[in-house]
Amino acid sequence: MIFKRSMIDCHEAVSRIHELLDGELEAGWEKKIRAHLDACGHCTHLFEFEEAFLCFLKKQDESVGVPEELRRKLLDKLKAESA
Amino acid sequence: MERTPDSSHSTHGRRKRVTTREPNEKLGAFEKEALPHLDTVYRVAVRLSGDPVQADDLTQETMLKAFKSWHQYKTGTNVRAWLLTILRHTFINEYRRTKKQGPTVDVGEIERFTVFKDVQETDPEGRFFDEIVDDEVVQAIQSLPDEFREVLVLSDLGDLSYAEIAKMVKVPVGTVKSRLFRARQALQKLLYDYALDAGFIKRGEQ
Repeated sequence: MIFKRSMIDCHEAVSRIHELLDGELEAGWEKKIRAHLDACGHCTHLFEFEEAFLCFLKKQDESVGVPEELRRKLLDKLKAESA
Repeated sequence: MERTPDSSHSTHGRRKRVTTREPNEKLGAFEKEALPHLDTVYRVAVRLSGDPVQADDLTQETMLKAFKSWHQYKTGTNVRAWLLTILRHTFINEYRRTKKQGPTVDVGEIERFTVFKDVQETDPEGRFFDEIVDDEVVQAIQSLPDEFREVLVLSDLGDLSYAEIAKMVKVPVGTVKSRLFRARQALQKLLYDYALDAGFIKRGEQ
């Protein structure tokens, strides 16, 4: 794909896709990458796929909670510790 | 290590009160600020150790250590990062050497975005991921080499920033970034291979 000179190319955009997903890009870069994504279907699909993967990891993770028994045991120990 | 010297207590607004009331105040503060992160501590413990029994012990030990050194926690800083620092330290010093380590995947071998390239025609939205159960994810995370696993777990499960992880692991932010990216790509590939084997998805025709 050919872009205007002010725009970045696919290689540059995808190399920063995870930083964008993690909210770790500075504002200037974020604007540039988003502008690229608006203009490039292929990179948008890649972005959405990587985003789906990270959402899946998060969702998996949220389904795991500390077992009730462990929580109880810990609270007892904390109370004993502060008595 | 984020430590606050004991002498700085008074600067954090903790006024000395009657001695007998202090333990309850400490417990109250700990319950209010640290305990809401108990689930996160437990999840990170499960993913780091890959062993539910060890994760129980690791979680308890982390929280008890944190409680005992609660005076060292700097009010207003990220308490989750502080707890995970204690967890990581405990894991490396007391648990990692007893960990049964299976074969690890060669993270450097995996081509960037290889899964996306494979599924972009058949499942560009990555729906097949939702078929994969938690045990598989825990197992796949275990096949990442230590330094890649910890960065992935701290970022994607511990929800820490690159800078917080860099400080904790004592490597530059750029190293965190590249380890995290490669760890994610490797994990994606492992789960994709599993999904292919399990028949959740068919190999894309290129």
